[in-house]
Amino acid sequence: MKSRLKAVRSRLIQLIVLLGTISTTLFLLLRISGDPAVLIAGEGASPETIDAIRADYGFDRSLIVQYLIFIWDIIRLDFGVSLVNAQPALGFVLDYLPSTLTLTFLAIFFNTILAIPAGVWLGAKPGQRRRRVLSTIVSVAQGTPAYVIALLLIQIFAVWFTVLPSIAGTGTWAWVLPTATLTFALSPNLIRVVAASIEETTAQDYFRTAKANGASPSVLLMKHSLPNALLSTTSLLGAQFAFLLSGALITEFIFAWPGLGLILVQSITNLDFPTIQATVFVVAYLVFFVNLILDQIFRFADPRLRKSQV
Amino acid sequence: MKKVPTLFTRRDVMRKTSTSPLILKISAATLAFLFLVAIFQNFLYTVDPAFSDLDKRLLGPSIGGPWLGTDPLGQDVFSRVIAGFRWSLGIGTIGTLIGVFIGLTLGIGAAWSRKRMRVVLSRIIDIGISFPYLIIAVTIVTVVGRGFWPLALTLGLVCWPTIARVVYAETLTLREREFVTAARLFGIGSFTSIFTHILPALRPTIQVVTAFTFADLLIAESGLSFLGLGAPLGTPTWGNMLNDSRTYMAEAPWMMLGPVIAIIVTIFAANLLGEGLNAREKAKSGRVSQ
Amino acid sequence: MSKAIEVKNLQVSFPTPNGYSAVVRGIDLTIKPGERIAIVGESGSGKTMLGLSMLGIQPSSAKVTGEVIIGDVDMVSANDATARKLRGNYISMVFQEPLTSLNPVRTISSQLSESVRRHNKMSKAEAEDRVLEILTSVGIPAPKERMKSYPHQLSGGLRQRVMIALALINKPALVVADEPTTALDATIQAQILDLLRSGMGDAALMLITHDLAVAADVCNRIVVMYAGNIVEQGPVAEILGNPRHPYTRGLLNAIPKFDKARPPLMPIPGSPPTITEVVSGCRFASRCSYADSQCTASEPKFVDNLACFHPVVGVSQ
Repeated sequence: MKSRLKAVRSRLIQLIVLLGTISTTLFLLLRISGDPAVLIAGEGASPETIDAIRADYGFDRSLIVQYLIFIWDIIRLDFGVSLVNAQPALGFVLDYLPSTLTLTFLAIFFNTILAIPAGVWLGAKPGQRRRRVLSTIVSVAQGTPAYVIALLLIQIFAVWFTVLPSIAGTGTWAWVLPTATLTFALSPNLIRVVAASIEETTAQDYFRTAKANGASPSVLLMKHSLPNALLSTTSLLGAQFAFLLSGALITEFIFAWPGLGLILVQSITNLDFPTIQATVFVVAYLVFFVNLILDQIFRFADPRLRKSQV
Repeated sequence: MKKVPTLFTRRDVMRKTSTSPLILKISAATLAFLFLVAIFQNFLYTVDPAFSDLDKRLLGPSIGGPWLGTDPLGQDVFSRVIAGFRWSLGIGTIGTLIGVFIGLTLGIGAAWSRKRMRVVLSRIIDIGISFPYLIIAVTIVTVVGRGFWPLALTLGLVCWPTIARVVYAETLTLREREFVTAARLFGIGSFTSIFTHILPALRPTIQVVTAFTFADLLIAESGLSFLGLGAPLGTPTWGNMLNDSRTYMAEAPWMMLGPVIAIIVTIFAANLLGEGLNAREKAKSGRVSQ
Repeated sequence: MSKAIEVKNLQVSFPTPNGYSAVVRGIDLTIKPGERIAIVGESGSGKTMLGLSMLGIQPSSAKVTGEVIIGDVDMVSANDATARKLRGNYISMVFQEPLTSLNPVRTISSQLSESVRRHNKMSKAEAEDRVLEILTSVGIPAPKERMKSYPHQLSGGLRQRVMIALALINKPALVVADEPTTALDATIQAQILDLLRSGMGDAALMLITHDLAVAADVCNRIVVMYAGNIVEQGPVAEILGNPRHPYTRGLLNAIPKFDKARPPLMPIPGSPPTITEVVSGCRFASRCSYADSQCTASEPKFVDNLACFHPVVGVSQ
């Protein structure tokens, strides 16, 4: 129990330092981007409006005071209002969260059911010529940028064959291409991790022991390699989850997907600092919780991390 | 508490898989060729990439005419793809050099220092890894202004954490190796040790990491331009061209052909180079089982 | 099974830049039912590879020729399915490092009962009874609780007992034990050696070790290997009391003794030939003080349990 609390605490410290660094960076960026009051007031605002905003936001005070106010607001989860639509930034961001989360879970789901069997198959007999060729192809495919995949999918399925929609909000079918894009973008990586982990287990002593006791190749694979290999796969899935929440920028942008990625692109284009800040915070919190859950899964799945019975 | 397995990165996996030396040669040759293209681009243009001939808008590719077709402004796609090499490879190279320099310094520094300093430095690396660096990079670029140098410098300044982590881990194991310990026992100073023992021993790792970072930065750079957040609009970069092509997917699907091929070939070559270097290193250090 | 296990002209070779090179160079060995023999040699003598290839689990790059007759089957030429039926059932193996040799994510009982049920038609409950029985017989305290444990929760000595239980669970004809005590504390070593000496039931034991003292403690017969060959073999008393091969004598002189006339320890100079080294004549000649031109010209044949042109006479110190 004690070690579990310790693990949570160290993750928490990491989260706090991370959020502090991000906020400070953004604070400084906003200040060097010119007069923040002008930025907030928008182009063509009268000097009186700008002065009012300056006083309202405290931009006329010293930088240190401004920073302290800024941090205090963040601690209260008050990120201010979006400079684009004047809504509270956090609520605005949270509205877009479900659609990103759904896309993330769909991508992780298809990625898992596609990549784990493929990786196991590749890793089971890595020396075989056929599989060597395939794993080279997989490793090459690993570098393909998501937008290339997306553009090709759109070109083929939406433009040439016109069987699938390429824009969000057009019904259930609209989910297909974004999900496929993310699945193809992530699966080569997962396939390789699974294959490499499976291959690695075959060099372990316990694998030899099982062999020395007459285990057949299928028992060796399913009962000895797979449980150990899946442990390392769980951690990659966590990393991919973190990537999808914010890193699906491009996919969301291409498919006009109303999610966190799209908000980020828009808010950065408009230098909408409150929204950038709120989005980054939401993503960081989610990643933090995913990592916490993963820690627990590890504890459950790996008996070596459980409390020792002796 | 036992250590929870850390997150797998692509690089961890690469270390475990193998590629033939042939791939190493092919990818190195391809990259060298692409760099030559970037350097001597002026001799390769069929038409000035910025020249816009409104009579020749959206022409399809043909063997005699515009090889890769023209865009809606009547600009030659082939020439623009060639021009994109200097932009992308340039940003990739400068960014990688900066990133490797910072990563190397921090990684070795963290591994070489003692107790508290080591904890602080390795924590900095840990946090750097979970830092949403792309988002921050884009914000910086948007604030200071788009362009070649802001993009190259910012990407360089944010891409170091993974490099630092790999270098840190490698240096930690090297530190415990006999020849380094022996050097310490003989009273050889830290700096001398680092330059005469650690850096040469790290060379293969640095090579591998450099190749992968280069590929990552190419992906990042073209992705940002594609989002309209990297290169100034209208600049001949692959990302910009791809973004333009989205509007004309039905009328002019060839517009994305050139940039897609250029991006994929360059990224694959860099990734394969990394894998090849890695495989060579693995083969060298591979032990014969008894 | 009351038939002896026979190894005939067994060779194991590995590919090198200059073609295949043998690490086990034509071994003949007969192990009688219930016998306990020790294979003694330095590291690199090929003793581990001999053990692995007797089970047919040598590294995949190795080339094996000759015969290993277990019952009516030749392990070397048997197909995979037949070989799997023998492994863990008629012949089994105990490895050096018990922690890594057990699957870390599965309980003791699941690993043991997997092996029982593979080779016997048994229900889960019957298999668990058998597991409990064997764990008790190898001297594991509170075996019922231990069954639910994972390998990392046991001490090194208990883990090695579990490994031995795993090797014995199907009542094999032969257990090959490869340096089973090397990774253990000295006090635990003695307990495990006791178990190997008297807790093996009807199984024969082939103990692979670099330690003549351990071999003498546990076994009836000692086989000395050097660079892939058997150089001398015989009953324990004979090997210890009257070693004839200079190498055996060298090994004996390298053991600390604690009696009154304590002779100085005499290490054997030099090291065995490497896998790629080409040696003409006796492979021990370069390290042997008795060697002459005959030794470097031709290789001595294994006759009368000895392969040496110049056997040492006289009683060992």
